[in-house]
Amino acid sequence: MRRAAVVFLLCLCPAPARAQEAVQLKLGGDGVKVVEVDKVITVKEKRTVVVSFPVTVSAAPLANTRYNWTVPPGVYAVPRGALLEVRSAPKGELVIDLHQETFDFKAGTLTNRYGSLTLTVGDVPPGPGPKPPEPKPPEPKPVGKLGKALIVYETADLSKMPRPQHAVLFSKTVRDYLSAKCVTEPDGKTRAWRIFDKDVDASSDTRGWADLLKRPRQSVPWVVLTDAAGAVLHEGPLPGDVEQTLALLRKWGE
Amino acid sequence: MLGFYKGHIPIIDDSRDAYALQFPGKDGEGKPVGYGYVPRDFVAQPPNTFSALPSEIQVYPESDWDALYDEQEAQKSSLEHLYLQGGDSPAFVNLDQNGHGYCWAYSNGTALMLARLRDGQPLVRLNPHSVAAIIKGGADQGGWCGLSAEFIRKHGMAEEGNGPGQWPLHSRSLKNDTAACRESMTRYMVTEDYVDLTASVYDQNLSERQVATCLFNNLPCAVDFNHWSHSVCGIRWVRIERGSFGLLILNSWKGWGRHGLAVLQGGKRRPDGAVCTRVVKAV
Repeated sequence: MRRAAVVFLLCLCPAPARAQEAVQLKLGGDGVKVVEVDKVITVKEKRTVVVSFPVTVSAAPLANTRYNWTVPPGVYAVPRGALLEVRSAPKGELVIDLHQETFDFKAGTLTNRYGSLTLTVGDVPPGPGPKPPEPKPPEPKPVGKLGKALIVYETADLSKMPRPQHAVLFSKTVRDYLSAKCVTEPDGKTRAWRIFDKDVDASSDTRGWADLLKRPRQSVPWVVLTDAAGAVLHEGPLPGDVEQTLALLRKWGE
Repeated sequence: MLGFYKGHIPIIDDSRDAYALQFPGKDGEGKPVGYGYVPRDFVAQPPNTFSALPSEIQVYPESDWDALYDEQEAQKSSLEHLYLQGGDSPAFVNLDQNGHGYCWAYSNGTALMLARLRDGQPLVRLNPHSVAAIIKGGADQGGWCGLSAEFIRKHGMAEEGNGPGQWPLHSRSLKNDTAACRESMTRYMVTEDYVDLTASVYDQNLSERQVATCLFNNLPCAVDFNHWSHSVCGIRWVRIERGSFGLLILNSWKGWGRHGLAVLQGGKRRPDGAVCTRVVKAV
């Protein structure tokens, strides 16, 4: 009975905690790779700052010594031997120089020494410091579906257009996409996209292109996208190449 | 031996007469073909008749031609690609002057249809007989491409057909010249000025580079040839092989060439007169 009691008591006592061992983990798989990223390190440095006047600049006092102080223009300072009392100075960085002449009467020699001090007057501007990237707000999903597209350009400028943008006007890929996504006009055959010179005469047009051509433009070439009902989804400069143009069209075409 | 561009579009070089070309196969019907080009009358239409001058064209240097051609091939972006829809299937059957001497109107009619195709406009078959017949009072007479260009700029061109406001196929009857037809013709006009590329006034080499520039920019050109007594529509400046370029034309003869296409090479490619269709009305 006593043995059982001892065993029971031993069971009730909490077991002593074992020292926790660190478990080594390994990362594997085809999707793992090492890449280089930019690491920005901020280095602090001490800078002497003058926040109010007067301040003094001094050198060790020596016998038989003349102290020649030089200050930048705009600085008002009063020399007092080995000490220079600066009473006012413009904001910013300034350098104060000292030319020290010591005469040794016994040896009959003159020793020249030079010193210089840089100080900053005024508030210290905040250091550049790494700024954490601001989180990009998610791009709102465009509302509306591509129905009609109008591209406007100036024929006289064709020879001067950058070739990648020139290609947008006539590329089969762009035209095929527009034909696939734009609505069919009442004739049952023509797709609702046009690529017009900016001065085209649309006075006889009965399909709504005249209204789109009248919309203000800041430049050419220019693109206007609408839904099937004619509500404008996007208008702006024509992108610079076929890929960018297709990316723009897909925003409303998919 | 007849050479071919891209394996199936015949090349007409200095050794071959264009009018002798017949494309074998079911398209080659051997029908009589019409011409009609007569050299320009500079008294009636002096130089600089059209207000957009050739000097306004920023000409691509010849050293750029290879890169321009390659880019068009990569993007399938030339008038050749638009006409053949990127393959070998034409967007429309080429116009046919049917043996009448009205090529000088058909060249511009073809250019007008190609410009509309380029703009993405609805396909409408136009009838250059309406222009030539009105100008010539119904007579089967020749002209030059500038003559029809001037008319089309002022009055437009009729649709082909037998309905109200249309002009029947191959008809020279002025009974078709009605108020309704004239009203309908104004829908198919050139709105910006043609560019006058007359070789007789300007250096022929400069004129050729101007034509090449217009075509690299997908601006179709009606082109006249003294050696051929014929006017056709130039649609692309093409590379036949490295170092050799030619003029791809779309003719107004049914059953000729490949879907009406052929390439003029060497001396044959140099036009004696040309106008460029830049901007057409939106309908």
